[in-house]
Amino acid sequence: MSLTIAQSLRSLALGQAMMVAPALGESYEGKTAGTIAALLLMLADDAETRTARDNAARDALLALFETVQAETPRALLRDALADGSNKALWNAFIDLHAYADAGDAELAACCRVLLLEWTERERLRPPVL
Amino acid sequence: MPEHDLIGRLEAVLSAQRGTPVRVDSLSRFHGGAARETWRFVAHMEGGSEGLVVRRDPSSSLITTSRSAEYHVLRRAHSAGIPAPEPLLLDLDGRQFGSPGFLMREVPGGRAASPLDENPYGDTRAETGRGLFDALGRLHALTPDAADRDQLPVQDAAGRLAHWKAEIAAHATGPEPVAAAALRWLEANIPPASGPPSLVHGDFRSGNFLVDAGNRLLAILDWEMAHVGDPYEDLAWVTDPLWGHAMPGHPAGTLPFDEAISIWEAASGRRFDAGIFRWWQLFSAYQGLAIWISSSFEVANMRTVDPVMAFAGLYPYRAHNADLARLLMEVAK
Repeated sequence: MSLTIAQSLRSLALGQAMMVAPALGESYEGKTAGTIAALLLMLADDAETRTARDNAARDALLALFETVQAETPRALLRDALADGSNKALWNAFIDLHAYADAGDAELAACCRVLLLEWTERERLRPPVL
Repeated sequence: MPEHDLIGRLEAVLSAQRGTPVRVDSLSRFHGGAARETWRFVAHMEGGSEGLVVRRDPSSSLITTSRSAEYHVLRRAHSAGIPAPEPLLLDLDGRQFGSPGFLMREVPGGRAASPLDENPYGDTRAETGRGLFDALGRLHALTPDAADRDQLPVQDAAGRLAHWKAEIAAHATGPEPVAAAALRWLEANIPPASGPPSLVHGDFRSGNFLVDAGNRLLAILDWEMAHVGDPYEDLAWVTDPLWGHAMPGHPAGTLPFDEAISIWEAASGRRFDAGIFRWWQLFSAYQGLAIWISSSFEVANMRTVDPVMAFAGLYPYRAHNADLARLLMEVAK
Protein backbone atom coordinates (compact mmCIF):
# COMPACT_ATOMS: atom_id res chain seq x y z
CA MET A 1 0.00 0.00 0.00
CA SER A 2 1.15 3.50 -0.74
CA LEU A 3 1.73 6.02 2.01
CA THR A 4 -1.40 7.96 2.86
CA ILE A 5 -1.55 11.72 2.33
CA ALA A 6 -1.51 12.21 6.12
CA GLN A 7 1.54 9.97 6.60
CA SER A 8 3.38 11.75 3.78
CA LEU A 9 2.60 15.22 5.09
CA ARG A 10 3.65 14.28 8.63
CA SER A 11 6.97 12.89 7.38
CA LEU A 12 7.59 16.01 5.28
CA ALA A 13 6.77 18.21 8.27
CA LEU A 14 9.31 16.47 10.48
CA GLY A 15 11.94 16.52 7.74
CA GLN A 16 11.39 20.23 7.27
CA ALA A 17 11.50 20.86 11.02
CA MET A 18 14.53 18.69 11.76
CA MET A 19 16.65 19.06 8.63
CA VAL A 20 15.83 22.35 6.88
CA ALA A 21 14.75 24.84 9.54
CA PRO A 22 17.71 24.31 11.92
CA ALA A 23 20.19 24.87 9.11
CA LEU A 24 18.63 28.27 8.39
CA GLY A 25 18.56 29.36 12.04
CA GLU A 26 16.68 32.42 13.24
CA SER A 27 16.70 34.12 9.83
CA TYR A 28 13.54 35.03 7.90
CA GLU A 29 14.15 31.93 5.77
CA GLY A 30 14.59 29.75 8.87
CA LYS A 31 11.37 30.96 10.44
CA THR A 32 9.58 30.54 7.12
CA ALA A 33 10.85 26.94 6.97
CA GLY A 34 9.45 26.44 10.48
CA THR A 35 6.08 27.85 9.42
CA ILE A 36 5.98 25.46 6.47
CA ALA A 37 6.76 22.54 8.79
CA ALA A 38 3.96 23.56 11.14
CA LEU A 39 1.56 23.93 8.23
CA LEU A 40 2.42 20.49 6.90
CA LEU A 41 1.77 18.98 10.31
CA MET A 42 -1.57 20.76 10.59
CA LEU A 43 -2.54 19.57 7.10
CA ALA A 44 -1.55 16.00 8.02
CA ASP A 45 -3.99 16.06 10.94
CA ASP A 46 -6.64 17.58 8.68
CA ALA A 47 -6.11 15.00 5.93
CA GLU A 48 -6.63 12.13 8.34
CA THR A 49 -10.27 13.05 8.98
CA ARG A 50 -11.10 14.94 5.76
CA THR A 51 -13.25 12.26 4.14
CA ALA A 52 -15.20 11.53 7.31
CA ARG A 53 -15.90 15.24 7.86
CA ASP A 54 -16.96 15.78 4.25
CA ASN A 55 -19.35 12.84 4.53
CA ALA A 56 -20.73 14.13 7.84
CA ALA A 57 -21.36 17.56 6.33
CA ARG A 58 -23.05 16.09 3.30
CA ASP A 59 -25.23 13.81 5.43
CA ALA A 60 -26.22 16.74 7.65
CA LEU A 61 -27.18 18.88 4.67
CA LEU A 62 -29.24 16.12 3.06
CA ALA A 63 -30.95 15.30 6.36
CA LEU A 64 -31.88 18.94 6.83
CA PHE A 65 -33.15 19.22 3.26
CA GLU A 66 -35.36 16.17 3.81
CA THR A 67 -37.17 17.94 6.64
CA VAL A 68 -38.17 20.80 4.34
CA GLN A 69 -41.73 20.26 3.15
CA ALA A 70 -43.06 23.66 2.08
CA GLU A 71 -43.06 24.26 -1.67
CA THR A 72 -41.11 27.55 -1.70
CA PRO A 73 -37.99 26.21 0.04
CA ARG A 74 -38.28 22.85 -1.71
CA ALA A 75 -37.95 24.72 -4.98
CA LEU A 76 -34.72 26.26 -3.70
CA LEU A 77 -33.26 22.80 -3.21
CA ARG A 78 -34.44 21.01 -6.34
CA ASP A 79 -31.57 21.94 -8.68
CA ALA A 80 -28.94 21.37 -6.01
CA LEU A 81 -30.24 17.91 -5.21
CA ALA A 82 -30.21 17.07 -8.91
CA ASP A 83 -26.65 18.40 -9.23
CA GLY A 84 -25.49 16.60 -6.10
CA SER A 85 -22.11 18.33 -5.76
CA ASN A 86 -21.02 19.66 -2.36
CA LYS A 87 -20.77 23.16 -3.80
CA ALA A 88 -24.35 23.01 -5.09
CA LEU A 89 -25.59 21.66 -1.75
CA TRP A 90 -23.89 24.46 0.22
CA ASN A 91 -25.19 27.12 -2.15
CA ALA A 92 -28.68 25.69 -1.71
CA PHE A 93 -28.17 25.75 2.06
CA ILE A 94 -27.28 29.46 1.89
CA ASP A 95 -30.56 30.14 0.04
CA LEU A 96 -32.51 27.96 2.45
CA HIS A 97 -31.02 29.68 5.51
CA ALA A 98 -31.85 33.12 4.06
CA TYR A 99 -35.42 31.95 3.45
CA ALA A 100 -35.65 30.60 7.02
CA ASP A 101 -34.22 33.77 8.59
CA ALA A 102 -36.95 35.74 6.81
CA GLY A 103 -39.84 33.86 8.42
CA ASP A 104 -39.31 30.27 9.55
CA ALA A 105 -37.76 30.44 13.01
CA GLU A 106 -37.70 26.67 13.52
CA LEU A 107 -35.89 26.02 10.25
CA ALA A 108 -33.54 28.92 10.93
CA ALA A 109 -32.59 27.37 14.26
CA CYS A 110 -31.85 24.05 12.52
CA CYS A 111 -29.64 25.88 10.01
CA ARG A 112 -27.67 27.54 12.82
CA VAL A 113 -27.15 24.21 14.55
CA LEU A 114 -25.89 22.68 11.32
CA LEU A 115 -23.43 25.54 10.87
CA LEU A 116 -22.18 25.31 14.42
CA GLU A 117 -21.63 21.55 14.28
CA TRP A 118 -19.98 21.73 10.86
CA THR A 119 -17.61 24.58 11.76
CA GLU A 120 -16.63 22.95 15.06
CA ARG A 121 -15.73 19.75 13.22
CA GLU A 122 -13.66 21.80 10.79
CA ARG A 123 -11.77 23.74 13.46
CA LEU A 124 -8.04 23.06 13.23
CA ARG A 125 -5.79 22.34 16.18
CA PRO A 126 -2.84 24.70 16.52
CA PRO A 127 0.22 23.02 15.03
CA VAL A 128 2.84 22.09 17.61
CA LEU A 129 6.28 20.87 16.57
CA MET B 1 14.39 42.48 -4.96
CA PRO B 2 17.71 41.06 -3.75
CA GLU B 3 18.87 42.29 -0.36
CA HIS B 4 21.93 44.04 -1.74
CA ASP B 5 19.70 46.17 -3.93
CA LEU B 6 17.66 47.24 -0.90
CA ILE B 7 20.86 48.04 1.00
CA GLY B 8 21.98 50.27 -1.87
CA ARG B 9 18.64 52.02 -1.93
CA LEU B 10 18.66 52.59 1.82
CA GLU B 11 22.20 53.95 1.75
CA ALA B 12 21.26 56.38 -1.02
CA VAL B 13 18.09 57.57 0.74
CA LEU B 14 19.74 58.01 4.12
CA SER B 15 22.88 59.67 2.75
CA ALA B 16 20.71 62.23 0.97
CA GLN B 17 18.51 62.76 4.01
CA ARG B 18 21.35 63.09 6.52
CA GLY B 19 23.70 65.00 4.21
CA THR B 20 26.56 62.64 5.04
CA PRO B 21 27.63 59.19 3.76
CA VAL B 22 25.64 56.43 5.42
CA ARG B 23 26.56 52.74 5.36
CA VAL B 24 23.91 50.07 5.95
CA ASP B 25 24.43 46.56 7.29
CA SER B 26 22.72 43.85 9.36
CA LEU B 27 19.67 43.90 7.07
CA SER B 28 17.18 41.21 8.09
CA ARG B 29 13.54 40.67 7.34
CA PHE B 30 10.92 40.27 10.07
CA HIS B 31 8.97 37.04 9.90
CA GLY B 32 5.16 37.15 9.93
CA GLY B 33 3.24 40.29 9.02
CA ALA B 34 1.86 39.14 5.68
CA ALA B 35 0.46 42.58 4.94
CA ARG B 36 3.86 44.29 4.46
CA GLU B 37 7.54 43.54 4.05
CA THR B 38 9.34 44.82 7.13
CA TRP B 39 13.15 44.93 7.36
CA ARG B 40 15.40 46.01 10.21
CA PHE B 41 18.94 47.26 9.63
CA VAL B 42 21.68 49.34 11.17
CA ALA B 43 22.72 52.66 9.60
CA HIS B 44 26.29 53.80 10.28
CA MET B 45 27.41 57.39 9.81
CA GLU B 46 29.91 59.79 11.22
CA GLY B 47 29.13 60.20 14.85
CA GLY B 48 27.36 56.90 15.44
CA SER B 49 24.97 54.17 14.38
CA GLU B 50 21.23 53.69 14.71
CA GLY B 51 18.76 50.86 14.31
CA LEU B 52 16.07 51.55 11.71
CA VAL B 53 13.16 49.71 10.13
CA VAL B 54 11.79 50.00 6.60
CA ARG B 55 8.28 48.84 5.87
CA ARG B 56 7.13 48.57 2.30
CA ASP B 57 4.53 46.96 0.05
CA PRO B 58 5.09 43.36 -1.00
CA SER B 59 4.00 41.95 -4.35
CA SER B 60 0.92 40.46 -2.67
CA SER B 61 -0.82 41.31 0.57
CA LEU B 62 -3.69 40.29 2.83
CA ILE B 63 -5.10 43.77 2.58
CA THR B 64 -4.84 46.80 0.35
CA THR B 65 -4.03 49.92 2.30
CA SER B 66 -2.28 53.25 1.88
CA ARG B 67 1.29 53.91 3.03
CA SER B 68 0.58 57.63 3.43
CA ALA B 69 -2.34 56.86 5.76
CA GLU B 70 -0.21 54.52 7.83
CA TYR B 71 2.63 57.03 8.00
CA HIS B 72 0.23 59.79 9.00
CA VAL B 73 -1.39 57.84 11.84
CA LEU B 74 1.95 56.57 13.10
CA ARG B 75 3.22 60.15 13.32
CA ARG B 76 -0.02 61.23 14.97
CA ALA B 77 0.11 58.46 17.60
CA HIS B 78 3.82 58.87 18.28
CA SER B 79 3.53 62.62 18.76
CA ALA B 80 0.56 62.10 21.12
CA GLY B 81 2.74 59.95 23.38
CA ILE B 82 1.12 56.65 22.47
CA PRO B 83 3.80 53.95 22.34
CA ALA B 84 4.53 53.61 18.63
CA PRO B 85 7.70 53.65 16.49
CA GLU B 86 8.83 57.10 15.38
CA PRO B 87 8.23 57.51 11.63
CA LEU B 88 11.10 59.18 9.77
CA LEU B 89 10.58 59.23 6.02
CA LEU B 90 7.77 58.39 3.59
CA ASP B 91 8.29 57.09 0.04
CA LEU B 92 4.87 57.23 -1.58
CA ASP B 93 5.72 56.16 -5.11
CA GLY B 94 8.36 53.55 -4.32
CA ARG B 95 11.20 55.36 -6.10
CA GLN B 96 13.41 55.24 -3.02
CA PHE B 97 12.62 51.83 -1.49
CA GLY B 98 11.64 49.91 -4.63
CA SER B 99 7.97 49.86 -3.61
CA PRO B 100 5.88 52.34 -1.56
CA GLY B 101 6.87 52.36 2.07
CA PHE B 102 8.34 54.30 4.93
CA LEU B 103 11.22 54.38 7.35
CA MET B 104 10.92 54.38 11.13
CA ARG B 105 13.18 54.16 14.14
CA GLU B 106 13.64 50.64 15.52
CA VAL B 107 12.19 49.95 18.96
CA PRO B 108 15.09 48.01 20.50
CA GLY B 109 14.67 45.00 22.73
CA GLY B 110 11.07 44.28 21.80
CA ARG B 111 9.33 40.97 21.25
CA ALA B 112 5.98 40.29 19.56
CA ALA B 113 4.00 37.18 20.48
CA SER B 114 2.77 34.68 17.93
CA PRO B 115 -1.00 34.16 18.05
CA LEU B 116 -0.27 30.47 18.64
CA ASP B 117 1.93 31.04 21.71
CA GLU B 118 0.55 29.75 25.00
CA ASN B 119 0.53 32.35 27.78
CA PRO B 120 3.10 34.54 25.98
CA TYR B 121 3.20 37.22 28.69
CA GLY B 122 3.67 34.77 31.57
CA ASP B 123 3.13 35.75 35.18
CA THR B 124 3.37 39.44 34.28
CA ARG B 125 0.49 39.30 31.81
CA ALA B 126 -1.62 41.66 33.93
CA GLU B 127 1.09 44.30 33.57
CA THR B 128 1.07 43.75 29.79
CA GLY B 129 -2.71 44.12 29.74
CA ARG B 130 -2.71 47.31 31.80
CA GLY B 131 -0.28 48.95 29.37
CA LEU B 132 -2.15 47.63 26.37
CA PHE B 133 -5.66 48.74 27.32
CA ASP B 134 -4.40 52.06 28.64
CA ALA B 135 -2.65 52.73 25.30
CA LEU B 136 -5.81 51.75 23.41
CA GLY B 137 -7.90 54.05 25.58
CA ARG B 138 -5.51 56.93 25.04
CA LEU B 139 -5.68 56.40 21.28
CA HIS B 140 -9.46 56.48 21.46
CA ALA B 141 -9.36 59.67 23.54
CA LEU B 142 -7.78 61.57 20.64
CA THR B 143 -10.28 63.63 18.69
CA PRO B 144 -9.78 63.13 14.93
CA ASP B 145 -8.71 66.43 13.38
CA ALA B 146 -8.96 67.76 9.81
CA ALA B 147 -5.67 66.12 8.80
CA ASP B 148 -6.85 62.76 10.14
CA ARG B 149 -10.06 63.01 8.17
CA ASP B 150 -8.13 64.03 5.08
CA GLN B 151 -5.53 61.24 5.32
CA LEU B 152 -7.54 58.34 6.71
CA PRO B 153 -10.68 56.53 5.57
CA VAL B 154 -13.72 57.71 7.57
CA GLN B 155 -16.15 54.82 8.06
CA ASP B 156 -18.99 54.19 10.48
CA ALA B 157 -20.32 50.72 11.32
CA ALA B 158 -22.34 50.46 8.11
CA GLY B 159 -19.37 51.63 6.06
CA ARG B 160 -17.02 49.12 7.65
CA LEU B 161 -19.51 46.31 7.06
CA ALA B 162 -19.94 47.33 3.41
CA HIS B 163 -16.16 47.33 3.00
CA TRP B 164 -15.71 43.75 4.17
CA LYS B 165 -18.86 42.56 2.40
CA ALA B 166 -17.29 43.77 -0.86
CA GLU B 167 -14.00 42.04 -0.02
CA ILE B 168 -15.76 38.71 0.50
CA ALA B 169 -17.79 39.15 -2.68
CA ALA B 170 -14.60 39.82 -4.63
CA HIS B 171 -12.50 37.02 -3.18
CA ALA B 172 -14.69 34.09 -2.09
CA THR B 173 -13.73 31.02 -4.09
CA GLY B 174 -16.64 28.90 -2.88
CA PRO B 175 -19.85 29.04 -0.83
CA GLU B 176 -19.49 30.91 2.49
CA PRO B 177 -22.61 29.89 4.47
CA VAL B 178 -21.46 31.35 7.81
CA ALA B 179 -20.43 34.68 6.31
CA ALA B 180 -23.74 34.90 4.45
CA ALA B 181 -25.76 34.28 7.62
CA ALA B 182 -23.64 36.70 9.64
CA LEU B 183 -24.01 39.41 7.04
CA ARG B 184 -27.81 39.15 7.20
CA TRP B 185 -27.72 39.60 10.98
CA LEU B 186 -25.16 42.40 10.91
CA GLU B 187 -27.03 44.36 8.22
CA ALA B 188 -30.31 43.99 10.10
CA ASN B 189 -28.83 45.11 13.43
CA ILE B 190 -26.43 47.98 12.70
CA PRO B 191 -25.94 49.76 16.03
CA PRO B 192 -25.77 53.47 16.77
CA ALA B 193 -22.31 54.98 17.17
CA SER B 194 -20.89 54.15 20.60
CA GLY B 195 -19.83 57.79 20.93
CA PRO B 196 -17.94 60.41 18.95
CA PRO B 197 -15.71 58.98 16.20
CA SER B 198 -12.12 58.22 17.12
CA LEU B 199 -8.88 57.15 15.55
CA VAL B 200 -9.16 53.38 15.12
CA HIS B 201 -5.97 51.31 14.84
CA GLY B 202 -7.80 48.66 12.81
CA ASP B 203 -5.58 45.67 13.69
CA PHE B 204 -5.07 46.10 17.43
CA ARG B 205 -4.28 42.64 18.80
CA SER B 206 -1.73 40.40 20.42
CA GLY B 207 1.11 39.95 17.95
CA ASN B 208 0.91 43.53 16.77
CA PHE B 209 2.67 45.05 19.75
CA LEU B 210 6.12 44.74 21.27
CA VAL B 211 6.87 44.01 24.91
CA ASP B 212 10.16 44.24 26.75
CA ALA B 213 11.86 41.46 28.73
CA GLY B 214 9.47 42.13 31.64
CA ASN B 215 6.45 41.95 29.27
CA ARG B 216 5.76 45.68 29.60
CA LEU B 217 4.29 47.32 26.51
CA LEU B 218 6.92 48.99 24.32
CA ALA B 219 5.20 49.86 21.06
CA ILE B 220 2.03 49.34 19.04
CA LEU B 221 2.84 48.23 15.48
CA ASP B 222 1.12 47.66 12.14
CA TRP B 223 -1.08 50.72 11.71
CA GLU B 224 -1.89 50.06 8.05
CA MET B 225 -5.61 49.51 8.65
CA ALA B 226 -6.08 52.70 10.69
CA HIS B 227 -9.13 54.82 10.00
CA VAL B 228 -11.57 57.20 11.66
CA GLY B 229 -14.50 55.24 13.01
CA ASP B 230 -16.01 53.59 16.04
CA PRO B 231 -13.49 52.66 18.77
CA TYR B 232 -15.51 49.53 19.59
CA GLU B 233 -14.01 48.02 16.45
CA ASP B 234 -10.57 47.93 18.13
CA LEU B 235 -12.10 46.77 21.39
CA ALA B 236 -13.85 43.85 19.69
CA TRP B 237 -10.78 42.87 17.65
CA VAL B 238 -8.36 42.87 20.59
CA THR B 239 -10.80 40.80 22.67
CA ASP B 240 -11.53 38.36 19.81
CA PRO B 241 -10.82 34.76 20.94
CA LEU B 242 -8.46 34.26 17.98
CA TRP B 243 -5.95 36.59 19.63
CA GLY B 244 -6.60 35.33 23.16
CA HIS B 245 -3.87 32.66 23.34
CA ALA B 246 -6.46 30.05 24.36
CA MET B 247 -7.16 31.95 27.59
CA PRO B 248 -10.93 32.53 27.49
CA GLY B 249 -12.06 35.66 29.30
CA HIS B 250 -8.55 37.15 29.17
CA PRO B 251 -8.32 39.41 26.10
CA ALA B 252 -4.98 39.13 24.30
CA GLY B 253 -3.96 36.60 26.96
CA THR B 254 -3.61 39.35 29.55
CA LEU B 255 -6.21 40.66 32.01
CA PRO B 256 -9.72 39.51 32.90
CA PHE B 257 -12.17 41.11 30.45
CA ASP B 258 -13.89 43.42 32.96
CA GLU B 259 -10.59 44.76 34.23
CA ALA B 260 -9.37 45.42 30.69
CA ILE B 261 -12.56 47.31 29.87
CA SER B 262 -12.29 49.40 33.07
CA ILE B 263 -8.77 50.47 32.14
CA TRP B 264 -9.90 51.33 28.61
CA GLU B 265 -12.85 53.35 29.97
CA ALA B 266 -10.61 55.32 32.32
CA ALA B 267 -8.06 56.11 29.62
CA SER B 268 -10.53 56.88 26.83
CA GLY B 269 -13.16 58.75 28.82
CA ARG B 270 -15.75 56.57 27.06
CA ARG B 271 -18.36 54.19 28.47
CA PHE B 272 -18.72 50.53 27.62
CA ASP B 273 -22.10 49.44 26.22
CA ALA B 274 -22.49 45.65 26.10
CA GLY B 275 -25.33 45.81 23.57
CA ILE B 276 -23.37 47.81 21.03
CA PHE B 277 -20.26 45.75 21.72
CA ARG B 278 -22.17 42.56 20.80
CA TRP B 279 -22.60 43.81 17.24
CA TRP B 280 -18.92 44.65 17.00
CA GLN B 281 -18.01 41.15 18.26
CA LEU B 282 -19.86 39.62 15.33
CA PHE B 283 -18.41 42.22 13.02
CA SER B 284 -14.94 41.33 14.27
CA ALA B 285 -15.29 37.67 13.34
CA TYR B 286 -16.88 38.65 10.00
CA GLN B 287 -13.98 41.01 9.29
CA GLY B 288 -11.58 38.21 10.15
CA LEU B 289 -13.31 35.89 7.70
CA ALA B 290 -13.05 38.53 5.00
CA ILE B 291 -9.32 38.90 5.57
CA TRP B 292 -8.71 35.15 5.55
CA ILE B 293 -10.88 34.67 2.47
CA SER B 294 -8.81 37.32 0.69
CA SER B 295 -5.69 35.50 1.78
CA SER B 296 -7.01 32.22 0.39
CA PHE B 297 -7.76 33.97 -2.88
CA GLU B 298 -4.16 35.18 -3.18
CA VAL B 299 -2.79 31.71 -2.44
CA ALA B 300 -5.27 29.88 -4.69
CA ASN B 301 -4.37 32.17 -7.58
CA MET B 302 -0.61 31.75 -6.97
CA ARG B 303 -0.16 35.45 -6.33
CA THR B 304 1.92 34.64 -3.25
CA VAL B 305 3.91 31.72 -1.91
CA ASP B 306 4.30 33.20 1.58
CA PRO B 307 3.29 30.35 3.92
CA VAL B 308 1.85 32.90 6.36
CA MET B 309 -0.80 33.61 3.73
CA ALA B 310 -1.55 29.88 3.36
CA PHE B 311 -1.77 29.57 7.14
CA ALA B 312 -4.18 32.53 7.22
CA GLY B 313 -6.48 30.74 4.80
CA LEU B 314 -6.61 27.69 7.05
CA TYR B 315 -6.33 28.04 10.83
CA PRO B 316 -7.78 31.53 11.50
CA TYR B 317 -10.33 31.11 8.70
CA ARG B 318 -11.81 28.02 10.29
CA ALA B 319 -11.53 29.48 13.80
CA HIS B 320 -13.50 32.56 12.82
CA ASN B 321 -16.04 30.47 10.93
CA ALA B 322 -16.69 28.47 14.12
CA ASP B 323 -16.67 31.55 16.37
CA LEU B 324 -19.13 33.32 14.11
CA ALA B 325 -21.44 30.29 14.03
CA ARG B 326 -21.39 30.26 17.84
CA LEU B 327 -22.11 33.99 18.04
CA LEU B 328 -25.04 33.57 15.65
CA MET B 329 -26.48 30.99 18.02
CA GLU B 330 -26.04 33.35 20.96
CA VAL B 331 -27.71 36.37 19.37
CA ALA B 332 -30.64 34.22 18.28
CA LYS B 333 -31.48 33.33 21.89
